[in-house]
Formats: sequence, structure tokens, C-alpha cells
Amino acid sequence: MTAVLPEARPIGTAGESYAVTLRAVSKRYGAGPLGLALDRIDLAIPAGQFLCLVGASGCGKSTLLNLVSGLDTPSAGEIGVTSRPTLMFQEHALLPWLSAVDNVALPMRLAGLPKPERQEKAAEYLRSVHLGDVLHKRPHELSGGMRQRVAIARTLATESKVLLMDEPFGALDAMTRDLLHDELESLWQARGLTILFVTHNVREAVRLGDRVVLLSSRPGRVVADFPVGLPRPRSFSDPDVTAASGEITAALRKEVARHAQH
Amino acid sequence: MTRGVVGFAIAAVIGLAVGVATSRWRPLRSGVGALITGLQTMPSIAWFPLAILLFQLSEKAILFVILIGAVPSIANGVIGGVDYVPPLLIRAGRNLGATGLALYRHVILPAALPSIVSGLKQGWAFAWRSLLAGELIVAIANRPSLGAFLSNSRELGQPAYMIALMIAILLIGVLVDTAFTAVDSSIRRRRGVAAATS
Repeated sequence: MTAVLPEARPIGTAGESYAVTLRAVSKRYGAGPLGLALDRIDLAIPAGQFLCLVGASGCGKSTLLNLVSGLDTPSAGEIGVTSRPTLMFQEHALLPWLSAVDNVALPMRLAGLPKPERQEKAAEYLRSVHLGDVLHKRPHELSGGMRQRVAIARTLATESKVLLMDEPFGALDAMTRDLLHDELESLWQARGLTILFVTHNVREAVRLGDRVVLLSSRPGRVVADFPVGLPRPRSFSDPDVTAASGEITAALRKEVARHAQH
Repeated sequence: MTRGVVGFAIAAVIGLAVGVATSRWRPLRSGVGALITGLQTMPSIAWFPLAILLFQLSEKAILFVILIGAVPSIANGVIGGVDYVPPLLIRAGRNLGATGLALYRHVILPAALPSIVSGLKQGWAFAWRSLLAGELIVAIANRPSLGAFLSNSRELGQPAYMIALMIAILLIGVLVDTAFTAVDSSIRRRRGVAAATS
């Protein structure tokens, strides 16, 4: 493999009130109509907003996150971010040879923080996700939910204000997922984070988001943008959450059916 | 024995460097990758005539053959390991701020470690064999060497001594192999991929 350095991108071009802006962003892999993964996406995420991106599989949700994170570059259009976004994945992506605390300390180590300081901060981040008593366990000694908590702590440790989450709870059981929803919500509120959260689960999107954006598939286009005004804290099983997700699911279904005809 | 260790150490350094360089730069990879595999299939003893031409009957000749035997295995271990690093870890590492060499140091090389260790283990086996072959062919006056002892004991009609030496050679090989296996299983244990019994 060849290591490609992330491109230096203008930071601060997103504007005062927006943490992330996408202007007519397209991404193409190969020629032909099927090669177009994202088609002229316009999206502006105000600082502090929790935005959930929903779409059928293969609609380019993950591609979009890669572009915003800077791991990949758009074929056309412009992306602006106010701070370097941090990614979190469905798989925990922890380094298996490092303990929980060393995993969380990694971004600070890369940033050149001295060891005692970063260890202490890492332990602090782990305590904030209720993992204060498993600091020195390795990923394989932790449960799936705990691993995702370590991954959350590690994204916090980058000190980034913008979090990009790619179905981070997709592989968890329902109870653990509900618990992590609560924790993520309170971390987001306490730290004033901006979160772009990708999921295929509409109810999860309504549970978490200030706003739910619907992406069509092949090519990915923004087809609907729903504000979610429900009061917080919400719960996965709230009747209001159920009603709102029913409405969005209907729109999503229409979108899927429209594409099936082609 | 000292020769073997020194030769192996030098081979390890060169092998790791070649492995990293080759895995990192695509042009080098297409040029050198096949060559490395090719070198590996060449019996090391076939290099001795050339080595003796280049370096006469000297330490250097033996060292040369040890290196040419061990370096490709070690480099291949590195390349193979780097190729199989999960892309997700690389994406995560880059996103957390690891670029260039830092990415290698903190993510890619540790992830490739099991394969690197097995390359080193194989490299040691090649080095050890080349060493013995070399010592049998290249006798250097007044320098103690297992190979020289072995052929002397044959010439002087001391089969018992000769067999004892052979057993010693075998034991050293087994011991080193055990050490590598121990390193390997400790790596696997740390990463949670060890079998329950080990």
C-alpha cells in the first residue's frame, strides 16, 4: 500500500455559524451513471447541531463521511470545516495491541503531548464514558459496547469539535445501544459538539438528531431534510419518536421504490 | 555462532529497511518485489562461488551469503504483514493524526508485527543454514567455527565428536526456534488471538 497524506484543506472556510459546509459536492468512482456515488450535495451543519444522515445501503453515506473527514477528496464541489473532524466507525477500530488507556492516548501522543499528561487525560476521557475501571484492559478483553465506548473516548481525545460517526452502534444489542445513545447525547450537550451521524435506522436518527437528512441512492442526493423538534432527553421508544420516524420512513420508502423502477 | 548472530542482526536491519521501503513505494515494489521472492528460492550455497570470488576466503564471504539468504525472508515478512494491515486501522490512524512515518510507527508496523516475527524466524533459519554451509566451505585459519570443527572431526576420524557437534547444532536451532515461538505466542496472547491452551 502507499501511504497518502491527508490533504491540507482550508480550515475556517465553513463560516462563523456553520461547523461543516458542503457546496455542490460530487464524488465519482469510475465512469458511467453507476460510477457517480454522490451528486451535487449541498449541506450546511450549524455548529452544535446533531445531524443524522439516513439512506438505504449503498447511497454513499460512508463516502460522504470520508470526504468530510479529509480521507478522500471530492471529484467536484467544496467542503469547509471549522476544525479537523474525527471519525468513528461501526467497528471499533481500536489498536488491538494497546490497552484502552493507550488507545485513547494515541491522538494525544501523535500530537506530541508528554506521557504523564496524556495518560492522565486519557483516563479522564475513559471515566467520562464510565470505563474508569478497565483502563488497562486490551480491546479483546472488553465487550462490544465497552469497545465502542473506548472508541468514543478516543474521538473525544482528539479535542475535535466535529464528530463524524458511521453507524457506530449498528453492531450492538438494543439495550447497550440505548445506553450509548444517552451517553452520546449528554457528551454532545456537555461539550458543544457538532455531530454528523450516519445510520440506516430511522428511529435511531429521530432519537438522536436535531435534524434528519435523507439521502437517495445511486447517485446519492439530498432528497429530504426534516427538522426534529422533539424535546430532549428522548428515548428510543417514545411515542413521539415513533410517530416522527414513521413519517420519515414513509418518505424513505417512496424514495427506495422510485429507484427500484429504474 | 557469533558470526550467525551478527549476520542475522545485520540481515534483520537490512531486511526491515528493505521491507518497509518496498511496501511503501509502489515503484520500488514492482521492481524489487519479484526479485526478493526470486532470491528466496535460490539455495544459499549457490552463492558461495561468487562470494569467494568477491571476498576471497574471508569472514565477509560468509557474511555475504548469510545476508543474501536471510534478508529476503525478513523483507518478505514485513511486506506480507504490511499488506494485510486492516484498512480500517489505517483510516482510523490517519484520521487521528498519524501521517507518514508516524503512521508506520504507531499503526502499520505494530499491526504487521506477527508477520514480521515470522519473517525473522524464517530469516534466522536461512542465516543459520548459510552459516554452517559457509563454515564448511570457507575455512579461515585460527578462527573457531562449528563448520571447521565438524569437518576436522571427520578428517581426524572422531565420529563421536562429530555427532556431538551435530546434536549441538540441532539444539541451537531448536532453542532459537522456541524463542521465536514464545515471542509469537506472547504477541498473540496480548492481542487476544491465542489458542486457549497456549
